[in-house]
Amino acid sequence: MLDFFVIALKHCLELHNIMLMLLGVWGGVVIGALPGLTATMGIALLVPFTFVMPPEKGLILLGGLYAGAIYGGSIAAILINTPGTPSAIATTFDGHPMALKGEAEEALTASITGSFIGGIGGNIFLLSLSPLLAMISLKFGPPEMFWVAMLGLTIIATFATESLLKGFIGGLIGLVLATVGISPIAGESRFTFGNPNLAGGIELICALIGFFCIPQVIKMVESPEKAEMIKYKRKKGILFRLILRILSMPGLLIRSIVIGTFIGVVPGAGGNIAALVSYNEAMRWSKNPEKFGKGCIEGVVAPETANNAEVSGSLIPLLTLGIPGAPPAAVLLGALLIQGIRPGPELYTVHGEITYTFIISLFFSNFFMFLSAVFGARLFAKVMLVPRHLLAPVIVVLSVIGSYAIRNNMMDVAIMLGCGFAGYVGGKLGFHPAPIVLGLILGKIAEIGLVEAMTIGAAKGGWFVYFITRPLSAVLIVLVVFSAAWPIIRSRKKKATGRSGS
Amino acid sequence: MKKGELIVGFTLIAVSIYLYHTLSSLTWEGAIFPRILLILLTVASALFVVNTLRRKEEKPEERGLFDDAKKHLPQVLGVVVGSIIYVYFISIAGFVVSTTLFLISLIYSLGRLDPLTHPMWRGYKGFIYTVIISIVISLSIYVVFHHFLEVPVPSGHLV
Repeated sequence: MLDFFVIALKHCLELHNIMLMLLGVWGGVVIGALPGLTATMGIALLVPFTFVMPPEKGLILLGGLYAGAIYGGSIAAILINTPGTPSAIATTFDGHPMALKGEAEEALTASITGSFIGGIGGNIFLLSLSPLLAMISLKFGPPEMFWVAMLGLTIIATFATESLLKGFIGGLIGLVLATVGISPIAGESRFTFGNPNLAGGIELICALIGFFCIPQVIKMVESPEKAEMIKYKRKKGILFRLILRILSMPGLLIRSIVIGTFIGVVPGAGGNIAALVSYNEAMRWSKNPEKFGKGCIEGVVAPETANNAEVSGSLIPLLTLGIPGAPPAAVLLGALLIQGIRPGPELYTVHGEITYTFIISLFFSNFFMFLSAVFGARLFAKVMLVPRHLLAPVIVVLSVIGSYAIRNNMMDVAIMLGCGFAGYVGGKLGFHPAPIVLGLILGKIAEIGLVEAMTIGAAKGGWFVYFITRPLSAVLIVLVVFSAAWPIIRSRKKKATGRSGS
Repeated sequence: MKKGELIVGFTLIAVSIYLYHTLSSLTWEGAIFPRILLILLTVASALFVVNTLRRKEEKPEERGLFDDAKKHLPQVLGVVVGSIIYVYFISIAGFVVSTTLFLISLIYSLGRLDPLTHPMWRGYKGFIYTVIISIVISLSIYVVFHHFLEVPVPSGHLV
């Protein structure tokens, strides 16, 4: 591991890679700051740019973009009271009131300092925890992989959506979409309706672009609103004072980092949930919670620290098991697969150079993000003035070219548009894209696990026994049952307390 | 919401049953996983339909789900139908020509329909401005992808 560490550090200090980090971070902040453009969308639209790059360079660029976009969302949250990306929802609670009080500069500085500390903290977890988890995943056989996939699905169905059933249906739709094309074990075509273009299955990136970009474009044109941007003057000498003040609340910072990382690890619960939970906890632990919501600095630091810690957190299950912890990580998975790299323990051995370069580069990207934002937040804020009627059509064009470029296939473009329109209507009815996409990703893992385990098990006399008696399987099954039962327990509890309360 | 949910529920049931039937000729290795999924999906959708029907008629919401879309129907239709025509047109006319036309028509009409658009995007001058911007954007995307990144760009009879 130490060898990889040194090589990775060397890679990160190459001028070309530093330029990629800066490019990624700047692009990310711009995308994050533009309301309507989410982090997931930004990464999905830029994956095609990384095709020709070697994998580590592509990952450096996309990693910087991911971190930058999550931070960038706070600029719009503070200055125009609209979260630039969903992760910044909680930042509007106190960031905008601060700006209204004439403390825009303080709020922006607090948000970048929090983001920086959160990013570094989360990345320390990523660097230390993921190799351990990768070692455990080395022991996983087919039945374990099946149960891991099931665990991912039960968690997402419970966490991300308001309705358990809708989340479950979404996950199943994704799994069915994953079975389109040639079956992985027997090699037969399924659901292709005689169309050879469908034999290769539904390409993940195309589905992601469809689900995360097109509905966003339609939403942009159906609610054309003009936001008032708060103008502010530069204040001198507040930077160090503020940083010291933020560093003097280590409890809040550590709590936010842990919350962000943990929620990042959980599939389906993304940066918005991390930020909201962190905000609520900050309020609960605060000595004067009544200040929250009226423009207090803790209310900006807590969510911003958590949502940037979530960036690295969401990469932990991605790199070790191939299960993305958040939608933007799902796009990174697609980018890895295009490069021919399958996440898993191999990323820490055979492909160690790539993986560690990626992780170390995130430290650098966070640092560059901090510097750029401290000195250039005003410039980044300017991009929020780009008119929407210009943005929406350009996003459609980029979606089309991005989904075409992967396999040079117009069918993929049509599938992208189909996913997009379905995602828009589904989203209105409460079917969110996250479970569908996770189903699409986990479908192959689950199917191979299931069929292989059944075949091996049958040869050993009784596939059912083989499926549930291996110790690691048993642990995973307990986790699956628990995560599936949890929302039911929770709703019962809520009802019970509600009744006793009334 | 209720009507939309019922449509989604029944569609899912119908599609699941239909897809289940297409699996009949496969071996068990190829068919078992989708079969399990489709059975689960049918059951879950049926449950969803029953739940929706049993739910008491909700009080009329202040804003319907698609109110925004209905209010801005020309814009929404412009994007949806425009994108479909655009994608279809690419394979005939090629990327640069169709993208330029798509951008000009959508940028100009979206700008016109939105009362908040800056005056510089309106009128005769605004149109010229839109045309220039559209040509610049589509050409630069083409050059970046095709020449610098060497990523394939969809092609037709023209460029």
